Amino acid sequence: MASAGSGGGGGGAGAGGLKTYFKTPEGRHKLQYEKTHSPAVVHYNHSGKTVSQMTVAYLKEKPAGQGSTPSTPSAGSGMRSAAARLLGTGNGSRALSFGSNGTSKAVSGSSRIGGGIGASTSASGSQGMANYDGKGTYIIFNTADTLFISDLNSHDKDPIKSIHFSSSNPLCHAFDPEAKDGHDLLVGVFSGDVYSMSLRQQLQDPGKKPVSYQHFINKDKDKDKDPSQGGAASSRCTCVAWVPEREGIFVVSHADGNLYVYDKSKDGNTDWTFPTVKDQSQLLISHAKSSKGNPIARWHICQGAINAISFSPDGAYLATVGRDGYLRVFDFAKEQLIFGGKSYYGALLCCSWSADGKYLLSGGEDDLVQVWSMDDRKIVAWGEGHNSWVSTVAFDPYWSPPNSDETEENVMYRFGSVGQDTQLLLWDLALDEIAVPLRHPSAGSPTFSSGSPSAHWDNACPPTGVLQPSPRMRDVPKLSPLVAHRVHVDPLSGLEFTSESILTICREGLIKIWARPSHSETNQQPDSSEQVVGNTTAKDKMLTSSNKAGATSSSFKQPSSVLFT
Amino acid sequence: MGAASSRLEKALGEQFPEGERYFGLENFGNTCYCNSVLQALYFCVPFRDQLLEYYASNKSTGDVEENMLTCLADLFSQISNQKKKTGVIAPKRFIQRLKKQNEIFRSYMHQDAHEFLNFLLNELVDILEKEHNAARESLQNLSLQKNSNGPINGLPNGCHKESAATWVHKCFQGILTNETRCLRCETVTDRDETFFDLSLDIEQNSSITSCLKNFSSTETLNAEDKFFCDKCCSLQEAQKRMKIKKPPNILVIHLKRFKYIEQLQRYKKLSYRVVFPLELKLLNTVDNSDLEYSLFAVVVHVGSGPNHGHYISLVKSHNHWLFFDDENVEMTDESMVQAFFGSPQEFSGNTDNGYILFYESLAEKS
Repeated sequence: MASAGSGGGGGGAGAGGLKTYFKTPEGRHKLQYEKTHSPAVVHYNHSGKTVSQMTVAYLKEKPAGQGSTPSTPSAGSGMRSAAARLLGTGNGSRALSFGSNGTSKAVSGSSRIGGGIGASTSASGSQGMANYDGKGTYIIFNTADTLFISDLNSHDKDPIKSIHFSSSNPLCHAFDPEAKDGHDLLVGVFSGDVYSMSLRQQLQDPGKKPVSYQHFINKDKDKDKDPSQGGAASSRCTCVAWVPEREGIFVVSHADGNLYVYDKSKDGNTDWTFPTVKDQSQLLISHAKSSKGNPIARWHICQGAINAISFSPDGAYLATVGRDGYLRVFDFAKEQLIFGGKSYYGALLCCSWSADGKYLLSGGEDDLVQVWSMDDRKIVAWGEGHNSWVSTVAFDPYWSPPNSDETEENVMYRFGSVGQDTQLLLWDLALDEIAVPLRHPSAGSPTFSSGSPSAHWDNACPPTGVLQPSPRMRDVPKLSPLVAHRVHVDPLSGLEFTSESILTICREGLIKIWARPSHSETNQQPDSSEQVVGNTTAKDKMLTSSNKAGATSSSFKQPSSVLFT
Repeated sequence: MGAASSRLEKALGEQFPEGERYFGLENFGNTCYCNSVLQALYFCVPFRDQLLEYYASNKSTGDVEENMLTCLADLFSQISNQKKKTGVIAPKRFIQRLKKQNEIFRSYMHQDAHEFLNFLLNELVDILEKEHNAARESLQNLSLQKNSNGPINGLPNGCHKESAATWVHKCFQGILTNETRCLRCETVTDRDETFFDLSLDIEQNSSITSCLKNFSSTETLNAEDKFFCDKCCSLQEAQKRMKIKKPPNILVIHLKRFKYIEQLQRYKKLSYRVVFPLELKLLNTVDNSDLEYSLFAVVVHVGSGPNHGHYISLVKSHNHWLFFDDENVEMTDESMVQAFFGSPQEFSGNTDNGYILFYESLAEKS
């Protein structure tokens, strides 16, 4: 087994048992700094324990007419879509969207750090320090009844802003940097309602309540409550997402197997409710009768909770995973199921697309990471390495394979996963390795005859709209992690890649920022500093060096033109 | 408690499963270890059906001496024949019998639910086997009288050794095989053993899947702990691993949460967070069977130490989850199971931890 981490045996071992770096072929990833909510924050849980989720928000410069120049008009919507563009269309746009996302730090970092400190020491009245008109990268995370916003580029541990939700715990959130009318932040809460608001306005307001938000009430949630399905708890929001390339449209998934489509330009909440779902296990898509109000459509997808949703970078496809163990991929515009497949066992908990939209990851209660191919409409590999449930999976859109100038067709991806085993795992997906056992099940190698691979692996591509059962263990090619590192004391809930770092968050709301290695650093004797960095002076040194890493990140990230042409 | 009962009925409404009874069990002073396991067994439908069948057939044959089996059968039949749908029952005779039968359970001390389950299942098997053998003996005596010169040598002995599997076996028994491979001659020695439950070592922030993997992980026998290879006729280094040769219909998993700490000279409770999925497959089978199980009951230990605390159980019946705490029965939600995974850090709060998990094979059901 590939569990490089110190394992769970460390029981009550505190943070002292954790290393402050981990190594990959690219070099050493160092713990740069941590972020969390202040311990003084009173945690009132409206309804049971909440799990902290994390969203990285790239706030652009304030649009023209407000004093500053408009930012690049054609940059992607959302981090993943921006990354898709940079991977998909060669060098030019890569550099461009890179600039709009990553290099903001050098420009406005120092002023914002000042602002951050001001805001956190006194909750109000420090507005003179920062007006938040400029670009910035923020981490949005929830704990108990509060939504916190931290400045990613400041080393300050405390958030710069906390937004208190007095009636229902915030559970999930999403940010769209391209949102037109200012409302770019979505927050889904326990009651099943959703709020939209402007991140910048929240940052500029000194208060503890959300300001000038729009409240989308989900009336539908209150009816047909089957007590066995958890009553009120079943309508809770599990995931919110802006639809890429569809201005103002967003979707919200719920624990009762429903997904609602909203249009933020429609302000009214209709009194109309959707028809009763008779068979909980059947897909049922209904549209609102009136064209005025929200939600505009309801998709009943599965029995039990939808645990996560994810849009392909171009917005064409919607992936859902749920309690029933199925991953489903829909054509969002056509409202049609393209394909689906099941976990080995248990619920699936997370899903995420590759930047080029060709591959999907999922993870769940079978401790596995599944890799799905859009072309083949099926699972292509299982990643084995977690010792508990997999909470978040994500491709690293900023990673490019080594030797990328060679012309071989070995397309590679790097992805990461975090789990309740407190580990971060990084994986390489090399397609020539996994394709062989799948496309030629037994033909090429007579030694495999004992295995008698089941028939469905021969089918190149299943027909549209078919849900496939769990594959057998021996039929699926296995991947082993490149790196397995125990990064937190508590079970992990989230993972994000940025151009300069890898971010991990645990269920309790502690965020760690792991700086990517820089070239200069990897060149200077990588093994001499093998020992765990323990004392604070060494840590300070580490922090300054990773600052340097941030500044030279462009040299680390070499564009590669051959790969995705 | 009457109010609680009616609340449960109200909550279920028309969905109250036909013929089903949800009854709390009275506590006779620290008998929650017993109550929690009894509820799990009652909602183990194949077990309950067999026991009620046994009760019915036994009743007709008339006076049998009271034992654990008859007491349990009485109790289950008493519950299932209640006029009311919900309420409380006092398992008085069963508890009295238990205390008579085994001195460990005689005191009013806090007892271990897993020990009780183990004792109960073995006791049931013993009684059933005895009855089975008695029946066969009388049958054999009958046939012996008919043709007394028949070959009788060896037969009874051979039969006795692998006495026919009782319905308790059919529910709970699985077979483990202990594969030992001598590193010198490469000979693999298999040794089979039967089990009614799997006792798993647990680790902090892990899953049942991971604990099962560790259970079957390869261990090297060397140094002081070499293996005597029959082929080499000497002590050799060897590799050993446990695999499941025959998965049981009802898979009972016991989490070893009570660990003896050498330095402290006493047992300590491990409240580790160990997640368990509602569906499970065994990865460590001999034939890679991919057999799927579904969770239907969890016995939960509440409390920080091994010598005190409380037991409750969560049970799935007709796709509803119920919460049994001695007399109290409440509706709950599937997602509540997660509240009993344990604590991710040693000194943080949660001491209500899943202790015995009951999974049923889905293949058997369909």
